Amino acid sequence: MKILAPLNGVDETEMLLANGAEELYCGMVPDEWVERYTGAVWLNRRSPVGGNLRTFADLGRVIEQAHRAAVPVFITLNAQTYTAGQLPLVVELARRYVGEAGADALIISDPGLLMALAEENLSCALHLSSIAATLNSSAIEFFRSLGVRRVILPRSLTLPEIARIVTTAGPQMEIETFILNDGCIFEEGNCLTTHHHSVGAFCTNLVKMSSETVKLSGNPWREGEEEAAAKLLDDFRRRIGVLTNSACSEQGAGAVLPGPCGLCAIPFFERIGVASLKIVGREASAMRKLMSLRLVRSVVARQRAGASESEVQEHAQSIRLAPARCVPGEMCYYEWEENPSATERPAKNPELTTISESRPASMPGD
Amino acid sequence: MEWAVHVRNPVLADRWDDLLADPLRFCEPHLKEFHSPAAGFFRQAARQSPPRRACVGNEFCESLLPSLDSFSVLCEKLWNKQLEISFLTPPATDEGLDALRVLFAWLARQGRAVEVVFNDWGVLQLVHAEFPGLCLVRGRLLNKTMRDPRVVPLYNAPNAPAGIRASMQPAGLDTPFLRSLISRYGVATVEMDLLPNSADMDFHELPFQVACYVPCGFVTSGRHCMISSLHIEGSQRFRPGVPCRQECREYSTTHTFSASALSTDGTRFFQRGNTFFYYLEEKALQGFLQGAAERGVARLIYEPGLPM
Repeated sequence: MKILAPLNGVDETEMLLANGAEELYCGMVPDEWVERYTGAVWLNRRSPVGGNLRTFADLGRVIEQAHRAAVPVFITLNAQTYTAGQLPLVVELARRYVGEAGADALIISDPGLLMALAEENLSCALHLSSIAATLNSSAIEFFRSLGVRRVILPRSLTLPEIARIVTTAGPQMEIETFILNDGCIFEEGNCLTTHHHSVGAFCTNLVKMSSETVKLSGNPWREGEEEAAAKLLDDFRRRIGVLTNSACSEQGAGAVLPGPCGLCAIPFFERIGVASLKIVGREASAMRKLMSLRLVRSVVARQRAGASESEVQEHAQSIRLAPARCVPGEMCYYEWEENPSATERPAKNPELTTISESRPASMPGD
Repeated sequence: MEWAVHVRNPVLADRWDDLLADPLRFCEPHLKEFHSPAAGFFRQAARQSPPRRACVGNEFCESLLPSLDSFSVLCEKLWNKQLEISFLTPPATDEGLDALRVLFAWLARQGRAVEVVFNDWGVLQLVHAEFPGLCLVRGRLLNKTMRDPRVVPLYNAPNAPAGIRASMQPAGLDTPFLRSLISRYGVATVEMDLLPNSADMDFHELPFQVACYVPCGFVTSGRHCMISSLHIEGSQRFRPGVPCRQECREYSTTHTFSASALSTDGTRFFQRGNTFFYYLEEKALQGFLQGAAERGVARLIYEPGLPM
C-alpha cells in the first residue's frame, strides 16, 4: 500500500520524496487553457494559479526527479466533463503529459475523455478520479472496460462498502482511498457548482446563507421540533466547517493539522488490499503538505512494523493532536470505530425503505 | 413532444385525474409560485392529450429505493391506467444494486416495455449485462454541465468571455466519444435538467431523444443527508448510510444566497433530503416551455413538487 502525495511546485518534489512519498500527483495548466477559457473554467478541479504547475518544463523537472527516486507521477485531467470544443486541447495535453513529460498515469473522470484517450494508445495507466463517483463494483466493471486500471473511491463510501468493492474488483484493479485533508459534504461527482473565488465553494458559501426550514405538511411545529430543526442546521454547517473550512486552505497552528482524515482506517485498508492512500491538497502550502505526509508516513510505518490495528489507531490519534475532535470521530472520513472488520452493514428497517407507506400523515393535495 | 409526470408517491397515482386537472394542488405550499407556470402549461397540454408516461422512483437517494411490494403495487396501478413507466434509479452502492437487482428482475418478468433511467454507470452496466429487455435511458445526474445559479447567469451573459460561454454546453453530449459510448449500450434517450441556457439550445443536433424535467433542477447531491440526521445525535450525524426515517418527506430547507455584489444575489436553493434544487426565473422557464417542441425536446417531465 503506497502513500500518494500532492504537489503544485517543482521545489516541493525533493521535500516530498525525502519524507516518504511513494507516488506523486499534480495538475498542470498551460497558459493556452487560461487564454481560451479564463481562470473560471477549471481544467482539473483546481484553480490554474493556486493548485497547478504552469509549464511543461516544470512538469518535466518534477517527473525527472521523481523517476530518479523510482516514484511514479500521476497527472490530473479530472473535470467532470469536457465539451467538444475543449476536448482536442485536452487530448493534446494528455499526449504531452505522457510523451513529452513522462507521466506514469492520467487521472480522469469524464467517460468521454476515456473513450478519446483509448484511441491515442498512450503509454501510461489510466486512473479513475473520485469525481467519477464510483460507488459500486458494477461501475468498476464499466470503467475497466474503458481501460481504467486504478479507481479512486469517493470519501462517501463506508469501510464495509469499500471492502466489498475491493474484493469484487479483484487484484487486477487497483483501489485508491482518501486518507487525509479536506472533504466534501456533497458527492463531488454529483456537485455541479463552482469553487471559483468570485462566489466561493457552494458548501462553504452555504454556511453564510440565510436559511429557513419548513414542514411540508403545513402542520404546526410540535413542541421542540422547530428548535431541533434549527440545531440540526447549525450542526450541518459546523460539519461543513470541519470538512472544508479547516482543511487544505488552512495551515494549522504549530504541529496541529486541521481537517478530516482516515488515518485510523489504515490497518483496515492494508488488510483488505487497498493499493494507495491519497493525501488531498494540491493547492496546500508546502508546509501543510509536509505535515500531512509525515502524519501518514508515521502511521503507515507503525503498520508496516507489525503493530496491531488498535496500536496503529492509538498512534494515529496520538499524533493527530486534536483529541476534542478526534476521539468523538468528528474528523473521520470513515466510521472505523463502529465495526471496521464487518462486510455487512446493519439491516435498515424495511418499513422505512419504501417510497409509499411512510409519507407524512398529510401532504399537499390530500 | 410528449408530457410525462413524475409520480413520486402512490398518492399521485391514486389521484391521477386530480393531478391532471389541478397539478398545483399537489405542490408543497411554499413552492407553488415556482411551479405555477409549468403547472399551467402541463394542465393545458394534459387537456389536449393526457400524458401516457409516468416516472416512478427517485434518482437522488438510495435510501428511497422502494420495497418490491410497494413498487409492484405502484407499477400495477399505473399500468392499469394505460401508462408507460420510466423507473428512475439513483447512484447506488453495492447494497443499493442488490436492491435494484430485485426490482429489475420483477420488471423484466412483466414483459412490458419499461425504461430504466440510470444515474450511475454501474446501473447501466448491471442492466445491460443482466436485464437486456429493459430499455436504458441516461439520467440527469450524468449530465455534468455546471449549473450553479450563483454564476451561470453571468457565465451565459452576452458579455461573458466566449470561452466561458462555450463551456456551458450540455455535458459532453456534443462530443462523438460520449455519444458513441452510450449508444453502444443501446441508449436512445437522455434526460436533462432545465438549464439557464436551455432555451437557446437546439436539441435536434443530438442523436438522442431529449427529455427535460420542469420546473426544477438539481444543483448538488450526495450521501451526507442533513435531514436524515434529525433523529441522530453527536458526531454520527451526517454520515453516509445512517438509518433513514425519510424525514425528507416532511421537511425542506430554503437557503438564500446573499451578501454578494453579484446580480445573482438573492438566488434561492431548496434543500430536500440529500439534494439541493433550483428553479429558473419565470421568464426563462416560459421561454423554454413555449419553444421546447421546436427545439427538439421529445419529452417534458412535469415534477409536481421537489422530486424526493
